[in-house]
Amino acid sequence: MMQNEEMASVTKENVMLITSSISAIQRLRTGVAKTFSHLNQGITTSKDGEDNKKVFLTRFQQDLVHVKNSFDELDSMVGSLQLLKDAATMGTLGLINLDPVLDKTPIYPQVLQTYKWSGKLREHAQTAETILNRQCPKRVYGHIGIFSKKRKVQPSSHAYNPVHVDKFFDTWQKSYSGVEVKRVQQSPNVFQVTLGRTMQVILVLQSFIIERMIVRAHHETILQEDGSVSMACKAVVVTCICLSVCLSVCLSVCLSVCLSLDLWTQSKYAVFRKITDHATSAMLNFHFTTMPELSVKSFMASTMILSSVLL
Amino acid sequence: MGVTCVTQWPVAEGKSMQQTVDFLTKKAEFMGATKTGTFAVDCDTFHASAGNPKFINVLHNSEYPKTTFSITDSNSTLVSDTGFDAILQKLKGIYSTKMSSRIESKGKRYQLADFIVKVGIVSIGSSNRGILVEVEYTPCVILQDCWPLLTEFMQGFLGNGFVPKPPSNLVNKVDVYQPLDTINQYLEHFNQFRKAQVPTR
Repeated sequence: MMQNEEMASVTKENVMLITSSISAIQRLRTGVAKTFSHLNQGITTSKDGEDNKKVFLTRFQQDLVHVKNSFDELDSMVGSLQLLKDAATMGTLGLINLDPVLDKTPIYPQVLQTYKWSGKLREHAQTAETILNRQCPKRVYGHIGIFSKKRKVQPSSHAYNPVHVDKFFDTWQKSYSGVEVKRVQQSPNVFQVTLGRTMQVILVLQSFIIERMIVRAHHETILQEDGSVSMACKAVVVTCICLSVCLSVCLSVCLSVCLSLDLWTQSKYAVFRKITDHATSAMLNFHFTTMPELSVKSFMASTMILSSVLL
Repeated sequence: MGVTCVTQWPVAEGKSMQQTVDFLTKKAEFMGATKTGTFAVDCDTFHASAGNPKFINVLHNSEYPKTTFSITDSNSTLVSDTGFDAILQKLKGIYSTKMSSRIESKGKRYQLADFIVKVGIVSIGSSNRGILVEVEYTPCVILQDCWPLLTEFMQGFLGNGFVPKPPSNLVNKVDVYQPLDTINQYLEHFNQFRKAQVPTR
């Protein structure tokens, strides 16, 4: 703050000095013009002879004294101009206009180049923002028309009836032999897809949105073997308690799922851990925001290909 | 538990049995397998007394330390708790065994991703009879589904010339592979070693 006030006062003084200097220059120029005019045209007097010469010399002397005074005044004013302290705050960059060897110093072109690149970067960021907004990775549609007054009711992936999901899997089972899909008793959102006698895919579906997916061997169990609560489930319960949102409902659902189903433990076989990785990639790749049913269909097809590779 | 193939491996020319086993284990280690302990499969044969030709083969596998597998001469099988051994001891008057007839395969156990490799020396008493190599592919329980993969792995391990054939009793098996199927394979090989002449080396 102090520095700013000081700079303002210096600038004010400088402005006043410059204004006075301009007046002084005008006076100097007038004086010089007058001197030359007197030299050129001479001085008209009523007296004769030698008096004329004396008058002329005296007048010329006066003119020169006037010019000298004006010049001295201007010189003193220019001398009293104060240097702005901007240069100090800007570091060496502030002195760039004083650089005597401009062409040899690389800093100026570098600064220019940096400015250009920052401009380009801003442009790219704007383009990326536009593209990202167009293909939003979010799985809900709420963000599309938040600011518009008339919000259109968009179709949501959550809006599908469970009967519709069941019908979809029934059709799938009928179309492909060796595929068995059933809802897990402990949780209605969990589907157990058995592919041949090789592997099983455990799908946690929120309507047609795949929330979690894990591949295990055909003979591996999907329940907790010893009935104990896994660490992950404990974490879920603790989070529920901390959030205290819909506590009773949340806790009852979490505990019923956690105590029986094991949706977190990876397969103990390396091959199925690898397949889980690939299937997860496929799940993300085939995610279509506008066509959730197609996402599940494509994912199932890719999983069948993966299982056929094993046989 | 997965599909398992047990096969005999001949002793290399000019080498001892131990040297051949060392060669195989080094090869497994070279492939990237890690040693995960030792293993043992043993078989005691209990003969019925008083001129009765009936007998029971009682086998143990260190993979299933609390289980006893019993197979009779008529191929009836019983998978029971190890307490069954104590019952047999009580039936000394009806079924008896000789400690010298005990045959076992002992060696090191290796694991390479989902494959388990066991290389064991078969011995009756103090006499070494041969080498048995067991390869198990753990993620699969259907023999037909993974036999080609198992064959490929064994050819990589034992050499391209080696073509393992599925055990005769398992060729048409469509059910899930059981630990008893592995025990049957061991028993088949143990019987062959018993009938074979004692090797000179």
